[in-house]
Amino acid sequence: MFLFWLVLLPILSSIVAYLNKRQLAGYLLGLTQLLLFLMALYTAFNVYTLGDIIYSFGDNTVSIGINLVADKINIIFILLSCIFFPIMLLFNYHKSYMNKLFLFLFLVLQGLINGIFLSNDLFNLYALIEVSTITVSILIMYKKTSHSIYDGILYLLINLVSMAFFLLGIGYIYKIFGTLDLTLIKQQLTHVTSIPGLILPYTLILTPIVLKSALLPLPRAHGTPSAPSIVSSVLSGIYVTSSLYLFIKIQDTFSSVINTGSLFLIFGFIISILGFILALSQTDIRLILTYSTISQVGLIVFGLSLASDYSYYGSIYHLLSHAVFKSTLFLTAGMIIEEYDTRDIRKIRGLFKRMPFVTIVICFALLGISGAPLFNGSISKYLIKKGSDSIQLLEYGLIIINIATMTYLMKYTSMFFGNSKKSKAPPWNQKIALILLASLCLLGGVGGQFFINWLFELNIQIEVLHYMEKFLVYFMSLGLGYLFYEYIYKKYPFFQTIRQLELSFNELILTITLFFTGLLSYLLLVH
Amino acid sequence: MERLFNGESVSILLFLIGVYGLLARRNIIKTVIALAIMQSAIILFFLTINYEDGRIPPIGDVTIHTAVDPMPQALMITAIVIGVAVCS
Repeated sequence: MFLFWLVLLPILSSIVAYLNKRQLAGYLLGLTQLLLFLMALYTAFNVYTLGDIIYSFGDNTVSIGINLVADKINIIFILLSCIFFPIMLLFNYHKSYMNKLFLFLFLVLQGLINGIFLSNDLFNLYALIEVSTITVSILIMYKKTSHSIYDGILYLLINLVSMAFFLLGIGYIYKIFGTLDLTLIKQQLTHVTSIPGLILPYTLILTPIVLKSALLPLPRAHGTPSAPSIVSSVLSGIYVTSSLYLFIKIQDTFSSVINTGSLFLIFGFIISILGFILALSQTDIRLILTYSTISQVGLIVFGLSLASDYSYYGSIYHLLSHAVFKSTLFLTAGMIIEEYDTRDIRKIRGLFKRMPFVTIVICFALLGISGAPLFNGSISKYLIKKGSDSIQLLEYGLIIINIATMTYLMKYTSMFFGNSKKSKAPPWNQKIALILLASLCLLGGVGGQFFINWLFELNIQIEVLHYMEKFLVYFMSLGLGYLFYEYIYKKYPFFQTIRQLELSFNELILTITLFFTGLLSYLLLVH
Repeated sequence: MERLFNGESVSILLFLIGVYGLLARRNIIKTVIALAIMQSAIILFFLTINYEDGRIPPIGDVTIHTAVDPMPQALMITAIVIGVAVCS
């Protein structure tokens, strides 16, 4: 199996497209994206029928060469990326800044993200992440306004610093194990006698991944407000997903000796609540969505750390659903900003009358994110909840997170109402892209039971009575969220003070260093 | 004393100096210099892990003496290329 074509094909096609005329490049890219999707589908079919596929570069034995591995979990993410990128390209087809250079960078990013999902070698991962960081920061700066250049440079520097931590961690790993392959490291962990010696490399490697997967509430690092909307949507959708996948992989590798389950359980909960408070206090619609990503990632990490199969796979399913509905929200936010020429949610009114089609799509995504029955978020949240059944306290935690989600969504829906005259309908390509994304939201919910059975071999039965209960809980949390928004958020000036909070570069670096030292000292104390 | 001043400890010291530079300086040129210091620290770290006295470079005929592990050097040439692309 030629797994590397999944990485190489988008990059090659982008080079060929760069060298050709735009019309021809369009056809070529369409064709290669189709080919890529078929290839991913074929690989997924093989993985599910024959088992994991391992490709070793240069005909070396597995222990020496660089390996690409396709297993049952990462192939789903590859499929997602192969659906996701063509939709983004279709959405942006008519934009003026969509020239050859933008296409080149965008497709290179697709290849790199596929590489991050497939790669099993730590140094290979380092190189892929570093190059994708550079690509992403150029894409953020693409509109060349002073704000976006500042954001892009800040993003680049912070990520370079965090990747220096990663590289040092790799050095330690190589010193201890003599290999950089994650599977081999996992096998050799049983022979390690001194666990404290492993803590420093583990912390060094985990810190940048935590930063990249939006677990540290640094808004500029994922979905900067000044970037083009498809870039934000890629960052908050698939790029965060790839980093969280790495988080799962690293945790899985080291879980047998270093147990951080309970730490990340509390950390995920705190981040989820913090993300909610930050999201609620913003007035910029892009920033509301960005902080909402942080809140959802908190929920996903919470679910991953619950030590139950149901919540583990529920979190992975939520990761997939999150990529779909968050990218939908970012794309529609871009359309709203273009139409109203402002990002301030207080100035946007009468959306339903002005852009009815967009409003309906937003509603689909909001129903998904809030876990309404029949939408994709409901299945994942149900599974996470099933995993937390044994301990009452955890269940309350989940309910609190859900009510928090409802509250900032209440704020987001406030722009639907009011009077405004109807504007012209969006172009056909944006309509098709949005319909596809919205139907994915619905499909993930209606066919959720089937997907879970098929992807994770996990049997879940959802009965009619259960659905009634879910409806009841959903509406109750909706009511509570509304009450919180009306009577607490609007009355207290606390949220306005948070809004003005902005971290400088040095403070961002301080946050990373503090997280690193905190995790290190906690682990050294425990072990 | 000699055992204390090996490549590993010096590189960690350099790395921490780099982190301090990032934390305490607001000037972007100094930030880039601090990043470069961190990268040099990492390169030094990689080249000195698993090093023992009397080893020769892994070039040419290495049958008489034992050569050093070539892997970290290969990794570092990649890291240097990325570092040059980023810092310049």
